[in-house]
Amino acid sequence: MRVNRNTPPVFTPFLSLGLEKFVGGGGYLMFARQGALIWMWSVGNHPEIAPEVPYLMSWEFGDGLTWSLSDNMRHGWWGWDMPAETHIVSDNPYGLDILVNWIRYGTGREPIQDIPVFHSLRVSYGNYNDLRSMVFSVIDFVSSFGGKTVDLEMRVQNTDGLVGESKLLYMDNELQSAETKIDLAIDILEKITEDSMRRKDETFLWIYITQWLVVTATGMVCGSVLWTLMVRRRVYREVPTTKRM
Amino acid sequence: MVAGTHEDPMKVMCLGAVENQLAPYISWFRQEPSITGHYVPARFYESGWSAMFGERIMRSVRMYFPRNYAQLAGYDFLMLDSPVVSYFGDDGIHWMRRAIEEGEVGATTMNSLLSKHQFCFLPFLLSELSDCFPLDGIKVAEYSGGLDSTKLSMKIGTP
Repeated sequence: MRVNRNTPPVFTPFLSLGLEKFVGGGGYLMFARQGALIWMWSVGNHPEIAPEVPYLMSWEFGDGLTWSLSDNMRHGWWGWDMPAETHIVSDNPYGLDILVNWIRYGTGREPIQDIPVFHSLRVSYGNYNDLRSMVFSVIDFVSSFGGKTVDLEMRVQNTDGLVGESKLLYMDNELQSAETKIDLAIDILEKITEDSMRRKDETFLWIYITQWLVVTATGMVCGSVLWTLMVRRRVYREVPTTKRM
Repeated sequence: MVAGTHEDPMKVMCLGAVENQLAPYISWFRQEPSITGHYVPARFYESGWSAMFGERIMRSVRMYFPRNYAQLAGYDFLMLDSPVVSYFGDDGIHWMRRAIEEGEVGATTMNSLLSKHQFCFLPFLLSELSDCFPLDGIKVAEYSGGLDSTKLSMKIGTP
Protein backbone atom coordinates (compact mmCIF):
# COMPACT_ATOMS: atom_id res chain seq x y z
CA MET A 1 0.00 0.00 0.00
CA ARG A 2 1.14 3.52 -0.69
CA VAL A 3 -0.57 6.60 0.72
CA ASN A 4 -0.85 9.81 -1.25
CA ARG A 5 0.97 12.38 0.87
CA ASN A 6 -0.75 15.25 -0.92
CA THR A 7 -4.12 14.59 0.64
CA PRO A 8 -5.80 15.89 3.81
CA PRO A 9 -4.63 14.08 6.97
CA VAL A 10 -7.10 11.20 6.91
CA PHE A 11 -4.74 8.28 6.39
CA THR A 12 -1.37 9.99 6.78
CA PRO A 13 -1.58 9.87 10.63
CA PHE A 14 -1.28 6.10 10.25
CA LEU A 15 1.99 6.26 8.32
CA SER A 16 4.10 6.33 11.49
CA LEU A 17 2.07 3.32 12.70
CA GLY A 18 3.12 1.23 9.72
CA LEU A 19 0.10 1.59 7.42
CA GLU A 20 2.17 1.10 4.27
CA LYS A 21 3.78 -2.07 5.64
CA PHE A 22 0.57 -4.02 6.23
CA VAL A 23 0.12 -6.68 3.58
CA GLY A 24 -3.27 -7.72 2.21
CA GLY A 25 -4.54 -10.32 -0.17
CA GLY A 26 -7.43 -8.43 -1.72
CA GLY A 27 -7.95 -5.55 -4.07
CA TYR A 28 -9.85 -5.74 -7.35
CA LEU A 29 -9.03 -3.77 -10.42
CA MET A 30 -10.17 -0.14 -10.52
CA PHE A 31 -9.84 2.64 -13.07
CA ALA A 32 -10.40 6.20 -11.93
CA ARG A 33 -12.65 8.65 -13.71
CA GLN A 34 -11.16 11.93 -14.71
CA GLY A 35 -11.12 14.28 -11.72
CA ALA A 36 -10.93 11.56 -9.08
CA LEU A 37 -8.47 11.92 -6.23
CA ILE A 38 -6.42 8.80 -5.46
CA TRP A 39 -5.84 8.47 -1.72
CA MET A 40 -4.04 5.10 -1.69
CA TRP A 41 -2.53 2.74 -4.22
CA SER A 42 -2.06 -0.98 -3.78
CA VAL A 43 1.37 -2.16 -4.82
CA GLY A 44 1.86 -5.30 -6.89
CA ASN A 45 -1.77 -6.38 -7.21
CA HIS A 46 -2.04 -5.92 -10.96
CA PRO A 47 1.50 -5.90 -12.36
CA GLU A 48 0.16 -6.47 -15.90
CA ILE A 49 -1.37 -2.96 -15.75
CA ALA A 50 0.93 -0.98 -13.50
CA PRO A 51 3.18 -1.50 -10.50
CA GLU A 52 0.65 0.45 -8.41
CA VAL A 53 -3.12 0.64 -8.98
CA PRO A 54 -5.74 2.75 -7.19
CA TYR A 55 -6.89 1.28 -3.90
CA LEU A 56 -9.08 4.10 -2.62
CA MET A 57 -10.28 7.16 -4.47
CA SER A 58 -12.85 9.90 -4.08
CA TRP A 59 -14.55 12.71 -5.91
CA GLU A 60 -17.22 15.27 -5.30
CA PHE A 61 -20.60 14.50 -6.75
CA GLY A 62 -23.09 17.33 -6.29
CA ASP A 63 -23.01 18.20 -2.60
CA GLY A 64 -21.68 14.80 -1.56
CA LEU A 65 -18.26 13.24 -1.40
CA THR A 66 -18.14 9.68 -2.75
CA TRP A 67 -15.49 7.00 -2.71
CA SER A 68 -14.56 3.74 -4.36
CA LEU A 69 -12.53 1.09 -2.59
CA SER A 70 -10.97 -1.71 -4.62
CA ASP A 71 -11.05 -4.06 -1.65
CA ASN A 72 -13.51 -5.01 1.03
CA MET A 73 -12.94 -5.54 4.72
CA ARG A 74 -13.03 -9.33 4.66
CA HIS A 75 -9.95 -9.76 2.46
CA GLY A 76 -7.24 -9.42 5.04
CA TRP A 77 -5.65 -6.01 4.70
CA TRP A 78 -8.01 -4.58 7.30
CA GLY A 79 -6.80 -7.16 9.82
CA TRP A 80 -9.79 -9.48 9.53
CA ASP A 81 -10.67 -12.42 7.30
CA MET A 82 -14.04 -14.09 6.77
CA PRO A 83 -14.07 -17.53 8.40
CA ALA A 84 -15.33 -19.36 5.29
CA GLU A 85 -12.51 -18.24 3.00
CA THR A 86 -8.78 -17.90 3.38
CA HIS A 87 -6.92 -14.78 2.39
CA ILE A 88 -3.65 -13.29 3.47
CA VAL A 89 -4.43 -11.61 6.77
CA SER A 90 -2.33 -8.64 7.76
CA ASP A 91 -1.43 -7.80 11.32
CA ASN A 92 -3.07 -4.43 10.85
CA PRO A 93 -4.65 -3.58 14.21
CA TYR A 94 -5.96 -0.22 12.99
CA GLY A 95 -8.79 -1.37 10.69
CA LEU A 96 -11.49 0.32 12.75
CA ASP A 97 -9.39 3.46 13.31
CA ILE A 98 -8.74 3.84 9.57
CA LEU A 99 -12.42 3.33 8.79
CA VAL A 100 -13.53 5.87 11.40
CA ASN A 101 -11.16 8.50 10.06
CA TRP A 102 -12.35 7.79 6.54
CA ILE A 103 -16.03 8.11 7.48
CA ARG A 104 -15.36 11.21 9.60
CA TYR A 105 -13.76 12.96 6.65
CA GLY A 106 -16.43 11.60 4.30
CA THR A 107 -19.12 13.19 6.44
CA GLY A 108 -17.44 16.55 6.78
CA ARG A 109 -15.86 16.03 10.22
CA GLU A 110 -12.26 16.54 11.23
CA PRO A 111 -10.26 13.31 10.98
CA ILE A 112 -8.63 12.22 14.24
CA GLN A 113 -4.87 12.80 14.50
CA ASP A 114 -4.07 11.34 17.91
CA ILE A 115 -4.63 7.76 16.78
CA PRO A 116 -2.96 5.77 19.63
CA VAL A 117 -5.18 7.36 22.32
CA PHE A 118 -8.40 6.66 20.43
CA HIS A 119 -7.17 3.23 19.40
CA SER A 120 -6.55 2.27 23.02
CA LEU A 121 -10.06 3.35 24.02
CA ARG A 122 -11.63 1.46 21.13
CA VAL A 123 -9.69 -1.65 22.10
CA SER A 124 -11.05 -1.28 25.65
CA TYR A 125 -14.63 -1.05 24.34
CA GLY A 126 -13.99 -4.14 22.22
CA ASN A 127 -12.54 -6.01 25.21
CA TYR A 128 -15.59 -5.05 27.26
CA ASN A 129 -17.92 -6.40 24.54
CA ASP A 130 -15.97 -9.68 24.33
CA LEU A 131 -15.93 -10.13 28.09
CA ARG A 132 -19.62 -9.27 28.34
CA SER A 133 -20.53 -11.85 25.74
CA MET A 134 -18.47 -14.46 27.64
CA VAL A 135 -20.23 -13.61 30.92
CA PHE A 136 -23.61 -14.01 29.23
CA SER A 137 -22.57 -17.40 27.81
CA VAL A 138 -21.77 -18.59 31.34
CA ILE A 139 -24.99 -17.05 32.70
CA ASP A 140 -27.03 -18.80 29.98
CA PHE A 141 -25.29 -22.07 30.77
CA VAL A 142 -25.94 -21.76 34.51
CA SER A 143 -29.56 -20.76 34.02
CA SER A 144 -30.15 -23.71 31.66
CA PHE A 145 -29.31 -25.92 34.67
CA GLY A 146 -31.76 -24.04 36.86
CA GLY A 147 -29.15 -21.89 38.65
CA LYS A 148 -30.15 -18.41 39.84
CA THR A 149 -28.58 -15.69 37.70
CA VAL A 150 -30.79 -12.62 38.16
CA ASP A 151 -28.33 -10.86 40.45
CA LEU A 152 -25.48 -11.42 37.98
CA GLU A 153 -27.56 -10.05 35.13
CA MET A 154 -28.46 -6.96 37.19
CA ARG A 155 -24.79 -6.35 37.92
CA VAL A 156 -23.92 -6.59 34.20
CA GLN A 157 -26.71 -4.13 33.46
CA ASN A 158 -25.30 -1.66 35.99
CA THR A 159 -21.86 -2.03 34.43
CA ASP A 160 -23.36 -1.35 31.01
CA GLY A 161 -24.55 1.96 32.45
CA LEU A 162 -20.97 2.80 33.31
CA VAL A 163 -19.88 2.00 29.74
CA GLY A 164 -22.68 4.25 28.45
CA GLU A 165 -21.29 7.09 30.58
CA SER A 166 -17.80 6.39 29.24
CA LYS A 167 -19.06 6.56 25.66
CA LEU A 168 -20.79 9.88 26.34
CA LEU A 169 -17.51 11.23 27.69
CA TYR A 170 -15.78 9.91 24.56
CA MET A 171 -18.27 11.81 22.41
CA ASP A 172 -17.49 14.94 24.44
CA ASN A 173 -13.80 14.22 23.82
CA GLU A 174 -13.15 13.84 27.55
CA LEU A 175 -10.89 10.92 26.80
CA GLN A 176 -9.14 10.53 30.14
CA SER A 177 -12.42 10.35 32.07
CA ALA A 178 -13.81 8.00 29.41
CA GLU A 179 -10.81 5.72 29.86
CA THR A 180 -11.14 5.74 33.66
CA LYS A 181 -14.79 4.71 33.39
CA ILE A 182 -14.25 1.93 30.85
CA ASP A 183 -11.30 0.56 32.86
CA LEU A 184 -13.50 0.51 35.96
CA ALA A 185 -16.29 -1.22 34.01
CA ILE A 186 -13.84 -3.89 32.79
CA ASP A 187 -12.60 -4.47 36.37
CA ILE A 188 -16.17 -4.89 37.60
CA LEU A 189 -17.01 -7.20 34.71
CA GLU A 190 -13.95 -9.35 35.45
CA LYS A 191 -15.24 -9.72 39.02
CA ILE A 192 -18.68 -10.65 37.67
CA THR A 193 -16.99 -13.21 35.40
CA GLU A 194 -15.30 -14.80 38.43
CA ASP A 195 -18.60 -14.80 40.34
CA SER A 196 -20.48 -16.35 37.42
CA MET A 197 -17.84 -19.08 37.15
CA ARG A 198 -18.22 -19.69 40.88
CA ARG A 199 -22.01 -19.84 40.42
CA LYS A 200 -21.47 -22.39 37.66
CA ASP A 201 -19.31 -24.48 40.00
CA GLU A 202 -21.99 -24.26 42.73
CA THR A 203 -24.65 -25.36 40.28
CA PHE A 204 -22.44 -28.24 39.21
CA LEU A 205 -21.82 -29.21 42.85
CA TRP A 206 -25.58 -29.79 43.28
CA ILE A 207 -25.62 -31.77 40.04
CA TYR A 208 -22.72 -33.92 41.31
CA ILE A 209 -24.45 -34.46 44.70
CA THR A 210 -27.68 -35.47 43.00
CA GLN A 211 -25.82 -37.82 40.66
CA TRP A 212 -23.91 -39.30 43.63
CA LEU A 213 -27.16 -39.85 45.56
CA VAL A 214 -28.82 -41.53 42.57
CA VAL A 215 -25.83 -43.82 42.00
CA THR A 216 -25.58 -44.63 45.73
CA ALA A 217 -29.33 -45.33 46.01
CA THR A 218 -29.22 -47.62 42.97
CA GLY A 219 -26.21 -49.43 44.45
CA MET A 220 -28.00 -49.85 47.79
CA VAL A 221 -31.18 -51.21 46.20
CA CYS A 222 -29.22 -53.66 44.03
CA GLY A 223 -27.04 -54.64 47.01
CA SER A 224 -30.00 -55.39 49.26
CA VAL A 225 -31.72 -57.42 46.55
CA LEU A 226 -28.49 -59.32 45.95
CA TRP A 227 -28.01 -59.88 49.71
CA THR A 228 -31.62 -61.02 50.20
CA LEU A 229 -31.70 -63.38 47.22
CA MET A 230 -28.18 -64.71 46.93
CA VAL A 231 -26.75 -64.62 50.45
CA ARG A 232 -29.72 -65.03 52.73
CA ARG A 233 -31.59 -67.01 50.10
CA ARG A 234 -34.95 -65.76 51.35
CA VAL A 235 -36.88 -67.22 48.43
CA TYR A 236 -34.68 -70.29 48.02
CA ARG A 237 -36.56 -73.55 48.33
CA GLU A 238 -34.80 -76.89 48.36
CA VAL A 239 -35.93 -79.20 45.55
CA PRO A 240 -37.53 -82.33 46.99
CA THR A 241 -36.04 -85.71 46.09
CA THR A 242 -37.29 -86.96 42.74
CA LYS A 243 -38.98 -90.26 42.73
CA ARG A 244 -39.60 -92.63 39.92
CA MET A 245 -43.33 -92.64 39.32
CA MET B 1 -12.53 16.25 17.89
CA VAL B 2 -12.31 19.20 20.24
CA ALA B 3 -12.48 18.73 24.02
CA GLY B 4 -15.79 19.70 25.55
CA THR B 5 -17.67 19.92 22.26
CA HIS B 6 -20.27 17.24 21.92
CA GLU B 7 -20.68 15.46 18.60
CA ASP B 8 -23.65 13.37 17.55
CA PRO B 9 -22.83 9.85 16.34
CA MET B 10 -22.48 9.39 12.59
CA LYS B 11 -25.29 7.30 11.14
CA VAL B 12 -23.85 4.81 8.69
CA MET B 13 -26.02 2.56 6.54
CA CYS B 14 -24.26 -0.56 5.25
CA LEU B 15 -25.89 -2.38 2.35
CA GLY B 16 -24.89 -5.74 0.92
CA ALA B 17 -22.89 -8.55 2.50
CA VAL B 18 -23.53 -7.34 6.01
CA GLU B 19 -23.73 -10.41 8.20
CA ASN B 20 -21.46 -10.98 11.21
CA GLN B 21 -19.35 -13.62 9.48
CA LEU B 22 -18.83 -11.37 6.42
CA ALA B 23 -18.38 -7.87 7.75
CA PRO B 24 -15.96 -6.97 10.57
CA TYR B 25 -17.36 -3.46 10.78
CA ILE B 26 -20.54 -4.78 12.42
CA SER B 27 -18.63 -5.56 15.62
CA TRP B 28 -16.34 -2.57 15.09
CA PHE B 29 -19.29 -0.19 15.06
CA ARG B 30 -20.56 -1.78 18.28
CA GLN B 31 -17.34 -0.76 19.97
CA GLU B 32 -17.04 2.69 18.36
CA PRO B 33 -19.19 5.30 20.14
CA SER B 34 -19.08 7.82 17.30
CA ILE B 35 -20.77 5.54 14.76
CA THR B 36 -24.25 4.04 14.71
CA GLY B 37 -24.49 1.26 12.15
CA HIS B 38 -27.66 0.25 10.31
CA TYR B 39 -27.52 -2.87 8.16
CA VAL B 40 -29.46 -3.89 5.07
CA PRO B 41 -28.47 -7.41 3.97
CA ALA B 42 -28.58 -7.44 0.19
CA ARG B 43 -26.04 -10.16 -0.67
CA PHE B 44 -25.63 -13.57 0.90
CA TYR B 45 -22.81 -16.07 1.08
CA GLU B 46 -23.49 -19.79 1.15
CA SER B 47 -20.55 -21.96 0.15
CA GLY B 48 -19.60 -19.21 -2.27
CA TRP B 49 -20.79 -15.96 -3.80
CA SER B 50 -22.24 -17.27 -7.04
CA ALA B 51 -25.88 -17.62 -5.96
CA MET B 52 -28.08 -14.56 -5.74
CA PHE B 53 -30.78 -15.56 -3.19
CA GLY B 54 -33.21 -13.03 -4.67
CA GLU B 55 -36.12 -13.78 -2.32
CA ARG B 56 -33.99 -13.33 0.77
CA ILE B 57 -32.66 -10.03 -0.53
CA MET B 58 -36.17 -8.87 -1.39
CA ARG B 59 -37.40 -9.69 2.11
CA SER B 60 -34.52 -8.00 3.90
CA VAL B 61 -34.70 -4.88 1.72
CA ARG B 62 -38.42 -4.69 2.51
CA MET B 63 -37.63 -4.95 6.22
CA TYR B 64 -34.53 -2.81 6.63
CA PHE B 65 -34.24 -0.35 3.75
CA PRO B 66 -35.72 3.13 4.40
CA ARG B 67 -39.30 3.57 3.23
CA ASN B 68 -38.89 7.09 1.92
CA TYR B 69 -36.32 9.64 0.85
CA ALA B 70 -36.44 11.61 4.11
CA GLN B 71 -35.49 8.53 6.12
CA LEU B 72 -32.64 7.72 3.77
CA ALA B 73 -31.33 11.27 3.73
CA GLY B 74 -31.11 11.10 7.53
CA TYR B 75 -28.03 8.91 7.22
CA ASP B 76 -24.55 10.42 7.04
CA PHE B 77 -22.77 7.75 5.05
CA LEU B 78 -23.70 4.80 2.82
CA MET B 79 -21.41 1.78 2.47
CA LEU B 80 -22.21 -0.31 -0.60
CA ASP B 81 -20.58 -3.61 0.31
CA SER B 82 -21.55 -5.69 -2.75
CA PRO B 83 -25.34 -5.25 -2.70
CA VAL B 84 -27.50 -6.43 -5.61
CA VAL B 85 -28.89 -2.95 -6.22
CA SER B 86 -31.75 -4.03 -8.47
CA TYR B 87 -33.65 -5.10 -5.35
CA PHE B 88 -33.76 -1.53 -4.06
CA GLY B 89 -36.05 -0.63 -6.96
CA ASP B 90 -35.94 2.51 -9.09
CA ASP B 91 -37.15 4.64 -6.18
CA GLY B 92 -34.56 3.32 -3.75
CA ILE B 93 -31.74 3.85 -6.24
CA HIS B 94 -32.98 7.35 -7.02
CA TRP B 95 -33.23 8.23 -3.31
CA MET B 96 -29.64 7.12 -2.79
CA ARG B 97 -28.41 9.22 -5.69
CA ARG B 98 -30.45 12.21 -4.58
CA ALA B 99 -29.20 11.87 -0.99
CA ILE B 100 -25.62 11.95 -2.27
CA GLU B 101 -26.14 14.70 -4.80
CA GLU B 102 -28.38 17.03 -2.80
CA GLY B 103 -28.36 15.75 0.76
CA GLU B 104 -24.59 15.81 1.38
CA VAL B 105 -24.64 12.14 2.25
CA GLY B 106 -21.24 10.48 1.80
CA ALA B 107 -20.99 7.08 0.16
CA THR B 108 -18.56 4.43 -0.93
CA THR B 109 -18.54 1.39 -3.16
CA MET B 110 -16.41 -1.61 -2.24
CA ASN B 111 -14.92 -4.47 -4.24
CA SER B 112 -14.34 -2.10 -7.15
CA LEU B 113 -17.45 -2.82 -9.20
CA LEU B 114 -19.22 -4.35 -6.15
CA SER B 115 -18.64 -7.87 -7.43
CA LYS B 116 -17.25 -10.07 -10.18
CA HIS B 117 -20.68 -11.59 -10.74
CA GLN B 118 -22.86 -10.19 -13.48
CA PHE B 119 -26.07 -10.32 -11.43
CA CYS B 120 -24.41 -7.87 -9.05
CA PHE B 121 -22.19 -5.58 -11.14
CA LEU B 122 -24.47 -5.13 -14.13
CA PRO B 123 -27.54 -3.65 -12.37
CA PHE B 124 -25.19 -1.25 -10.58
CA LEU B 125 -23.42 -0.22 -13.77
CA LEU B 126 -26.69 0.34 -15.60
CA SER B 127 -28.21 2.31 -12.72
CA GLU B 128 -28.03 6.05 -12.15
CA LEU B 129 -26.17 5.27 -8.92
CA SER B 130 -22.94 4.31 -10.69
CA ASP B 131 -22.53 7.90 -11.97
CA CYS B 132 -22.06 9.08 -8.39
CA PHE B 133 -18.78 7.26 -7.82
CA PRO B 134 -15.23 7.98 -9.00
CA LEU B 135 -14.79 4.46 -10.35
CA ASP B 136 -14.90 4.07 -14.13
CA GLY B 137 -16.96 0.89 -13.99
CA ILE B 138 -17.48 0.45 -17.72
CA LYS B 139 -13.72 0.50 -18.28
CA VAL B 140 -13.18 -2.06 -15.51
CA ALA B 141 -15.86 -4.36 -16.96
CA GLU B 142 -14.51 -4.03 -20.50
CA TYR B 143 -10.98 -4.77 -19.36
CA SER B 144 -12.09 -7.77 -17.29
CA GLY B 145 -14.20 -9.67 -19.78
CA GLY B 146 -16.94 -7.33 -20.97
CA LEU B 147 -20.44 -6.51 -19.82
CA ASP B 148 -21.73 -9.82 -21.20
CA SER B 149 -19.40 -11.81 -19.01
CA THR B 150 -21.16 -13.70 -16.22
CA LYS B 151 -18.02 -13.48 -14.12
CA LEU B 152 -15.39 -10.81 -14.56
CA SER B 153 -11.72 -11.59 -14.11
CA MET B 154 -10.99 -8.69 -11.78
CA LYS B 155 -8.41 -10.87 -10.20
CA ILE B 156 -7.34 -10.64 -6.62
CA GLY B 157 -3.64 -10.14 -6.79
CA THR B 158 -0.89 -11.34 -4.57
CA PRO B 159 0.75 -8.74 -2.35
